Amino acid sequence: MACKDTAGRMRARCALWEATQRARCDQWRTDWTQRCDAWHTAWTQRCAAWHTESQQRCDRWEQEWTQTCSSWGPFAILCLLWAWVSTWVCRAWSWVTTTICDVWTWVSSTVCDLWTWVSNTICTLWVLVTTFVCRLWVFVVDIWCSIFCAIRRLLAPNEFSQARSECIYGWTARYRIDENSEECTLRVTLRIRLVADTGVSATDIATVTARWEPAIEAAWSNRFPLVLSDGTCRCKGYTVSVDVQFVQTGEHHVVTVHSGSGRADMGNWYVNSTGGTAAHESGHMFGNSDEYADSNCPNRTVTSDGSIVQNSQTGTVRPRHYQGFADWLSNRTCCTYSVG
Amino acid sequence: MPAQGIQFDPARLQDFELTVEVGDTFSEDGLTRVRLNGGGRLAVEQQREQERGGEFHTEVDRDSMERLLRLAAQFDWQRRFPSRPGLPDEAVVQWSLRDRQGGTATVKVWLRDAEKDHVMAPVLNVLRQGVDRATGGKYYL
Repeated sequence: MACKDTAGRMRARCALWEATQRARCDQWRTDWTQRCDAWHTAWTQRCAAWHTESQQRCDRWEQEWTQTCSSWGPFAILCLLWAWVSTWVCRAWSWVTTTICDVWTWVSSTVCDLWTWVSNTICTLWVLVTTFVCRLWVFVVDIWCSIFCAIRRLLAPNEFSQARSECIYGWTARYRIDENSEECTLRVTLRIRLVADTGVSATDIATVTARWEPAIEAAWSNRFPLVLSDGTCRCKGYTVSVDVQFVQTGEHHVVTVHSGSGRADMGNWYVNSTGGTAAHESGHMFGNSDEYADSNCPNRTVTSDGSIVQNSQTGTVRPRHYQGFADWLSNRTCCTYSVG
Repeated sequence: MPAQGIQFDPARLQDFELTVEVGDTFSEDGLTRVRLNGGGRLAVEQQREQERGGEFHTEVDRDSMERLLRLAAQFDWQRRFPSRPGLPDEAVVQWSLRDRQGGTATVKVWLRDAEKDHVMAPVLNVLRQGVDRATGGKYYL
């Protein structure tokens, strides 16, 4: 996953985590508050019922004894005294037990409320701490991502240069590359200084320039799109255009032009060299290796899919030859682009 | 530096043969082989992969041949190859100097180095002219 997206998704996950956990805490608090309320209500009712029942029992006791005492004659006062004392004891008992019940109700409800408050506070603290840690991690990832992307961008300067090596061959791929994220285009500029060898005239140079420049540009421009494969970047795809400039100074490559025909290589072309040869050699300037068999390089990977670096006269640019451009763009944008 | 074990003797011109192979059979330009024997005969052929092109001939005068063989004997036959990384597509030149009585010396160099070498360059230029003459410009070194 692209670095930029990692931080973004983590940020979203932290927010989701926080919301989910807060909801859980709220639910927990609600549940326990309801439980405590139910407990309090149930015990209040129980205590009230007990009080009512015990009072009624005392009332009945008093009533019954009062009625009984009426048949006690001269000793009725003793009976009434008994009835009064026993009723008082009864009512005192009722009061004590009801008070105990009320105290129990209050204590247990208070404990329940306290538990609800403590557990909710712990839950809230848990959410705060874990969310903080999550956000701190996102911050670290963000910083890391910024550094990582800055380093990657250093690998994608506009004036690009990279040492290349294959078997017994070694050279430097060098060109300019400009990215336009408004138009989603990549412009590759190849500056070549032609040096005329003995026997090569200015007219020859003009002739070969007119032959080689369009051939190279046609072979290498708009061959394959560079497609976004990972990350959130503005352009979902880029088109690549190649501009060849034959210059007198500030060149990326020097090519000696020899008279007649001969064995062209990356630094030596001939007046009779075709546009295909120029396009092939330009492929090396972009960093691609040869793909034809070479008895000096028995381990070389030889291709057979009509590649321009396998056959300069009939071959065409293949997707793998654009990989250098895709890698540059990926480093520049910190998203991943691949050759479409 | 004289070829190791090979001493050029102008009195035995016919015993010497200089061969140069430029390129590779698998490259687009193919491999061009030139043989110059002490009798003055210059033979040119080209090979691409398994196919051999026709052989072309021309003659080289005695004085030129002696000069060429004398120069060839002065090549740095101990030269290490590759002396440097080559440019992509840069051709390789393989020189061989044979003495029927004394063995064969062989050395490989990059074509661009041979073109700049003060001993190899004149030999190469003469042979290029000979190839052009023999093949009518069809082949080149």
